[in-house]
This record gives sequence, structure tokens and C-alpha cells, in this order.
Amino acid sequence: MRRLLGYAVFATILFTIPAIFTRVPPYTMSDGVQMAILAIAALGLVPLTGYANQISLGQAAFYGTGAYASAILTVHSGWNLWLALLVGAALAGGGAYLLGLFIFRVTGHYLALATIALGLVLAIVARQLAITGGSEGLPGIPYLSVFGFELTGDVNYYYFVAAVLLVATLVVGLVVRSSLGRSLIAVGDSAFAAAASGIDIARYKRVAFVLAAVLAAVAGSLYAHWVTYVDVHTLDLLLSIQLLIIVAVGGLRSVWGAAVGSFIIVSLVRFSKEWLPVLSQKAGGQVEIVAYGAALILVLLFLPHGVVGGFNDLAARLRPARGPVAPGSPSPAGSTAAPTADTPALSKEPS
Amino acid sequence: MARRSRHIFAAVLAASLLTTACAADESRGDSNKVNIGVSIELSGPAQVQGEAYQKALQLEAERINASGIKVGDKTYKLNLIIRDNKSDPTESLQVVKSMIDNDKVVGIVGGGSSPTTMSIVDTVESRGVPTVSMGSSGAIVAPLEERQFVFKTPANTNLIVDKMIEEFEASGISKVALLSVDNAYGQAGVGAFDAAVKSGKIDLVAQEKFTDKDKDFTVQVTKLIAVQPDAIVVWAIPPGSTIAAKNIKASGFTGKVFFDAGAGAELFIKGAGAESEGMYMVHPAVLAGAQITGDSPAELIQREFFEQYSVKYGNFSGFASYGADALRLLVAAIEKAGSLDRTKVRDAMEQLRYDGVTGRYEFSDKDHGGVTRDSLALLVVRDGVWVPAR
Amino acid sequence: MEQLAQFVVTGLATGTMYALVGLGIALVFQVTSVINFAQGHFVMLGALIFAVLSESGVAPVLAAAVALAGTTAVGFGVERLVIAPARITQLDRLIILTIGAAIVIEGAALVAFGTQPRAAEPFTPGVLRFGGVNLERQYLWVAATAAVAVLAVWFFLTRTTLGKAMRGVAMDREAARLMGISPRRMSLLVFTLAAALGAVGGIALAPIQHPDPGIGIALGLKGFTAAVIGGLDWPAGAVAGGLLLGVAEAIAAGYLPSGYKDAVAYGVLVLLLVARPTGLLRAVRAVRV
Repeated sequence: MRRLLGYAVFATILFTIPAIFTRVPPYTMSDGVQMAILAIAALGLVPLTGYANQISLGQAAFYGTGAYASAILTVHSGWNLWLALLVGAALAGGGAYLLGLFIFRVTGHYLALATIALGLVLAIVARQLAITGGSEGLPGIPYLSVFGFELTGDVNYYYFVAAVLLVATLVVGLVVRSSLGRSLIAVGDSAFAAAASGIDIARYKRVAFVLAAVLAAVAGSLYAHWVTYVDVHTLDLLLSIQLLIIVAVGGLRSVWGAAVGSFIIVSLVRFSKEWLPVLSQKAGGQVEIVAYGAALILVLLFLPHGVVGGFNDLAARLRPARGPVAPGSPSPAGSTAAPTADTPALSKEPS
Repeated sequence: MARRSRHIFAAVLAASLLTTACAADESRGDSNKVNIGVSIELSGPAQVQGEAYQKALQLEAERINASGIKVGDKTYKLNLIIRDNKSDPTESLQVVKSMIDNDKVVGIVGGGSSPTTMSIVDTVESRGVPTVSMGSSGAIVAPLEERQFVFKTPANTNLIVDKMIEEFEASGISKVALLSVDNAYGQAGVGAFDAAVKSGKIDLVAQEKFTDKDKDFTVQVTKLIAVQPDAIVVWAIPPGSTIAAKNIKASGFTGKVFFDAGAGAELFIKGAGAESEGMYMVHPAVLAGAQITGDSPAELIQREFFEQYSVKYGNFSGFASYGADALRLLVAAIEKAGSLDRTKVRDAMEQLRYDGVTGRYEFSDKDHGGVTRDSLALLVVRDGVWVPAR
Repeated sequence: MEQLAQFVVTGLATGTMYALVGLGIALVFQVTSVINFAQGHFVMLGALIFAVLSESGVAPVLAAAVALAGTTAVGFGVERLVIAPARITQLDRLIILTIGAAIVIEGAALVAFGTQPRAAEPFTPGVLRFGGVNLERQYLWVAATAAVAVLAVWFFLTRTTLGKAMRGVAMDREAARLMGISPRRMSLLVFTLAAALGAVGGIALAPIQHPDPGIGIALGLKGFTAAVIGGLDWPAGAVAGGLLLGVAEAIAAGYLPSGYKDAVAYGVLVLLLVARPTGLLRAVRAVRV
């Protein structure tokens, strides 16, 4: 029941965002769309990095795969847009599965390094090929249509991607609460113990990796139909880093982590871009970068489980008698105190 | 108690949000100002260009505000809103949408490169915001029916190639090798060369690429000179163009070396040092500012800008004039339209005949692309400075 | 044949560059099990400070000293302010913090020095020619620097008490702690050392790199690749890995369309991680040990 309430609050916040973003500068509805797309792309890192403790720095490789699949198949081949999206997701999932077959045989940092390299290789190849438009990229991607209604404006498109985000969050929520999720926690916390109790570690890591890849690819396709232009930046390492930062800041052990992190990071970029030049004429993008990095470090140092984890800790401390959660607080971040998915994480990872 | 304090907190939050919103609206609705948005690359791989644009734009804004923008019988102040797009197409889109929605800009200068422009084309088109880009790719202004509001200042890439071909023919060069940076900038050059080859104008005997992160192109240069070309063309921006100059010189190549307009002015000469002596570049004549001696109005404008920029910042960048002209064109179009209506400004822009810092612009309903061919000159490095080659 | 010789020579030259970065990454990983994403940024900082100072006419020795001191201080600060206070239990996640540090260093360098690439004069200008092969003389300085750095690190780790203590931490944290070696102090030491190494490399590379604040990431990535080829936790292996990577890249660029050069480098990295995650040079190492 409490779990459903959590999703209801999340849905309410998601669908009231347009009312706020269209009125409160410096936000624009475009920021809302970007937040939702980034949240979908980062969501898969919750089971993968938060639970199975595998760092991926190659989410952009799958995001870009989805974006390019949608772009190439709809622009060059005139495919149905939804079919193109599915093909992109299948390609990304298949690629992740293949890489996962080998990479999870050993433990360590190998996933982080292999995914960086994979993203770099794809970006270089995308620059060389004619079908991807090379470095100049592919313009002219059509807008998505739902039931004959073309999703052109940012507000319309936002409602659509927010709905996708909600569904994706539900799916990931189900996964982390299933026996699979519990196994992932076991794998992440102590691979030896997990192996001893008969868990096929590599298989579970692989499932989480494929899920992350598919979600990233879907997000990439949504991006392509939003901007209507795709270039190698969708495969960029910097995007992978940004997605990892989003879940790290939001909270790696909570299904709300991706959405909260995405809200915080996009807001930080927007506000620093708007207000830093007011403070000083010379403060261009450079100071913005410092602020971004410093915020990341500070959050991770003071809230090692991210903002959501911090709220859960706080809630647990304030109401020891009533358990760790208090649904329905007024601020967006407060609502994230609801999920029960965090409770095992809390007990496993005391700070 | 807890519930009450929560309500108070919510009320305070709401009130503060409201005040922020109102306050912001007031400053934005200033009736004496014309807002023009700028999306440029102040960080990321294209930051060298971005910095030059920023300096030029700030210089221009001062000049324009000395007299103000005259719209009908009213005089407005220019309010330039400069935002970093991090050389990233998505960031450029976000910046531009924010400037359209929140700052109610009349026009947009940028993006400063092809990818950061391509991502905003659909938005400025559907929102009807006149936009002048500093990106070089031809796709920025074609197909024209889908680029009604988009203009650009750099010459169409094929004009630069045509100018080089003129020189090839004059000095009996037949076999040409091309070395280009592997990004959108280099790709535009490669595309123009491929077109020239197809039309039979030149014989391209070899073609190699390097990434904008590479620091040594000896391998590529070795491959190029192995086929013994008469000339090597380098299509890149600094520090790539500088490294190319050094590597080509080190290889002992004795033929002519040509650079495109991106090679980068003093930064290039400073980086390549004595090795750059005798190398050629096709660039708008403004770069040879100190050598411009004519006193036609167009030449005066070029010399004045070159001097002001050099004095204020201590050097000159070949990219600066593209940024300056993007702003000048927008302001000229606003004054010509006599209105701050975006569509009227666009219509006026399409009719402009304008002598800018880079050269002459002649937009029409058939062409939104860049400075005209006559503005381009062949320059050569003599004694460490760019001078006209003939 | 002459062409191949040129490719190999150029490859070895750029390889020394990767080796210098890889060395620092492997050293930090060996002692702390942290992949230091900021190592390329240490090199950038060393190169940039040196180039900016020498551009403004400061004597090269003084410029080098300032660059070395400044970068080393930054390395010290990164460990003290970012790595040491981290309460994250999983070591793997420290990589995110080093990414944060890298972002701040790059942004601060942009604020301080601007975006323009800087030009430092080569220590000894000119090009070395032998049998149709040419090489910028500066690369000899880079190679010499790399050689001295490797020897110094080797001497430090095997011949000094501090270095042996450091290796002790690398082999078994708990055992080292029981013997009175503080892993925290060793962590501070190794980050500072890595930053100093980065600065020295950066100074030697400055005339070649045309440094601007953006070069850190690219250097770091090539450094990782070099370190992984060597097996990630073996400094000497990282150096060999760097040279190997440089030559492989140059030959790939020489005989394939040059646009695919980096795809070859990173494709090799993927294959290597898939097929031989412990590093290509493991066999060599087994023989040695």
C-alpha cells in the first residue's frame, strides 16, 4: 500500500512539473523533457551499480545506439518509428548481453573500463560512416506520434516521456524487489558469499547490465525524436559520466535516485548558467564546470547514499518509532522517502 | 505542531517562488532593451572558437550601445545574453529554448559550430526566431524551405575550396592531398573537396584524418607525401592546424601548403613558429588587417575592427569576425525592419546587403549562406605575419 | 620499409606519452585499488602551468619548478579533500569521486588560464633525421623523462622503507595495518607522488601537447589503456603497455584509413578485457617474478 502511495506521489510530481516549469524561470519545459530522458537513461544504473556494484561508464554507448537506430531507420529507411525504437533497444540489449557474457567472468573494474572503450569505439565508427552522417550527424528525424497525435511541443512531449519514465520506474522497482533484486544485493555486497550460496553471479550481473542498456537505448530513441537531430555527442563519454553522476547524486540504492538526481543536476546546470554570469561578467561556462564538479564531490562526501539515501537516513532518525519512511512530504525530494526498496539497502550499508 | 510547521514551510516556499517569478519578469520585461541570445562554445572541444566569439561580441556590444539600436523613432539598448553550450548540441538546444522562453530574445547568435547549430534549427524554425550561426556546414542553411529563419556568417565551404582551386590553376598544381580534422568542421571541408573532385576541377590523390585530440600527425603526413602531391591542404583549427604545419615541415615536404579559414590567425603562427613561414591560407581579408590600406567604407570597417580587437585583447583571431558579423547582421536587420517583430526582422535580414567585418553579405530568398566570395583572400605567412599573397 | 620505420618510431614516441600517464594510474591503483580518473588532468596541469609561465617569459627551470610544485599540491589536495574523507564503503565508487576531482581541476584551469592552447618552446628545438626517418627532438626528452621516472619509481618501491611499506599496503591492506603501516598515509603519499609524476610528464610533453585545459581526458584514456595492457596494477607493465599502444596505433593509422586509428586502440582494449582481463603482459610478469 505504502509502495503504491510512493508511485502515486511520484506520478503527481511528474505531472505537475509542467505547471511549474512553464512559469518559473529559468526553467523551460525543455528542461523537463531533458530531465525525464536522462532519468530513464540513468535508471538502469540503480540495479547495476547500486545493487550489483558494477560501475558502467558506457551508458552513452547504448543511448547512442538507440538514438542512431531511430535516426537511421526512420530517416534512411522510412521505418515505423516504434519499430525503430524496438530495434534500437534490441541492439543495445543484445550488445550488452554479448559483452556481459565475457566481462562478468572476472570481478573488478573491468566493466567500467570496457564500457568506456566500447563507447569510444562506437563514437569513432559513427564519425567515419556515411549512414550516420559522419561528424555532421543526421538531421530531419520525424516527431513521434501517439494515436495519430504528433508530439511536437515540449509540453506534449514531456507528458509522454514522463509517462515512459513512470513505467520504467515501476519496472525497475519490480525488478529490485524481486528475488533477482535480492540476489543482486547479495552479489554486490559479497560476491564470495553469494557464490557460496549458489547464486550464479555472472548471470545476475548480466541481467542488470542488459536492463540498463535497454533503458538507455529507449531514452536515446526518445532523444532522437525530440531534438530531431542526432550526432556523435549521443555516444560521448561525457554523457556516460553525467548519467553515473545523476544516480550517484540522486541515490544509487533507490528507484527514485535517477529521477531525483536528474532533477538536481539539470537544475544545477540551468541555475548556474543563469546566475553565475550575473555575479561576474567573466564567469562564463568555466565557473559552471567548477560548480558542477564541486557539487558532485560535496554530495558524495556528505551523502554517500545520495540525496534520497540522505532523506531516508534523516527520516529514520526523526521517527524511529514509526519506521524509516514518511510518505507525502511537501517537497519533491521528500516524497522519495517512500520506497521500501531502500530498506534492505539501509540495513546493509550503514553509514 | 509538525503539520503546522510544514504548512508554514510550504507557504514560505510558494511565496518565495512567486516573488522570484515576478522579480524575474520585471527585469526581463525592460522596455528599453533588445534581448539577443548567444549560444557559443565557452568550454569543450570548440572552446578556442567560443572564446574568440565572446571577445568579439562583447567588443561589438559596447560599440553598438554607444549609439543604441534605432527602431523606428525609439532607441533601444542592446542586452546580450551569452550562454555556454559546452560544445554540446543538447546543451545548445537547452540554452536556446531558455533564451526564447524566458528572455524573449528577438534573435539568436549561434551556435558557434555546426553540431551546436544543427540541434537548434528545428526549434528556431518552429518558434520563428531569426538566427545567425557561425557554423560552417552547408547543411545549416539548406534545404532553404526548412531553414527560413537560419542564416550563417562563414563563407560556404565550397567558396573557400574554389578560391584554393583558382590558386592551384594559377601555379600549376594538379595533384592535391588533403589532411583534415575528424569532426564536423573537417567533414565540411572534405565534402567540398569531394564535390570539386566530382566536377573534375582537381585531382585529389590522398586523404587522411586526425582527431581533435591527437598531437602528432607524422604517420598521416608520411602517407600523404608518399604519393608525391604538389600541394597539401590542411582543414583544421588550432592546435591541430599548428601541429600539422610542424609535422609537414619536419617531413621535408617541399610543395605548397594551404590552410582553410579555420587555421587560426596568430595562434597558428605562435604555435608553429618559423615552421609556418611561406604557408598559405584562404581567409577573409580582415585577417591581414594591418595590411589593409584602402579607404573604401568596407575596408575602413575591417581595419577598424582589427585594430580595436587587437588593442583590447592583445592578439587577433580569425574566428572573431564571424561572431562580430552575426551580431551586426541581426542589429542591421532589426533597424532595417524598424520593428522588434521576429518575422519582420527575418524578412529584413533576407533583403540585407551588408558590409560586415568579414566581408560583404548578400542574403536572398535563395541563399542564407555566409560572406560572399569576393571577401575571401589568399594570405601567406611572411616574416611571422599574415599578408596578402598577391 | 622506410615508411614502416617511420611509423614505428612515431608510435614509440607517442607511446612514451601514454606510458607516462599509465605509470601514474597503475601506481595509484596498485596501492589504493582506486582508478584515478584525474591522472590525465595532473599531466594537463603540469603542462599548462609550465607553458603559460614560459610563454610569459619565466625562465624554464623556474617555470618547471612552479608547475611541479603546483601540480603536486593539487594531488595532495585531491587526496586530502576528496578521497580521504569519503565514507563510501565500496572502493569501486571512489572512481566517481576522482571524476568529480577531474571536473573541478579542468574547470579551475579554464577559469585560471582560459581556453587557448599554449605553446611552450621545445627544450632543444629541431628535428632529428636518420635514414629517412624523422623525429622531433623533444620526444627524446620525453623518453628520457619516462625512463628516469620508471627507474625512480622502481627504486622507491623496492629500495626504500617507505616504498616497501607502500607495496605492503598494495599486497595486503589488513596485514600492513597490523604491522603499523597506515593505508591512509600511503594513499596520501601515492596520490601526491602520482601528481608529481604527472607534472614531470606534463612539463616534458608541453612543447608537443600544445596544452589547453581540455587535454586531460584524452591523456587519461590513453593512460588507462596503457595500464590495462600492462595489467593495471603493475607500473612497469603500464610503461610497456604505453609503448605497445603507441606503436599499434601508428601502424593502424599507417595501413588503415587514419580515421579508424583510435577505434583500433580502444577496440584492442575491449578485446583485451574480454579475452585477457589480467593484462597482455601478465605472462612476461610471471617470468620476471
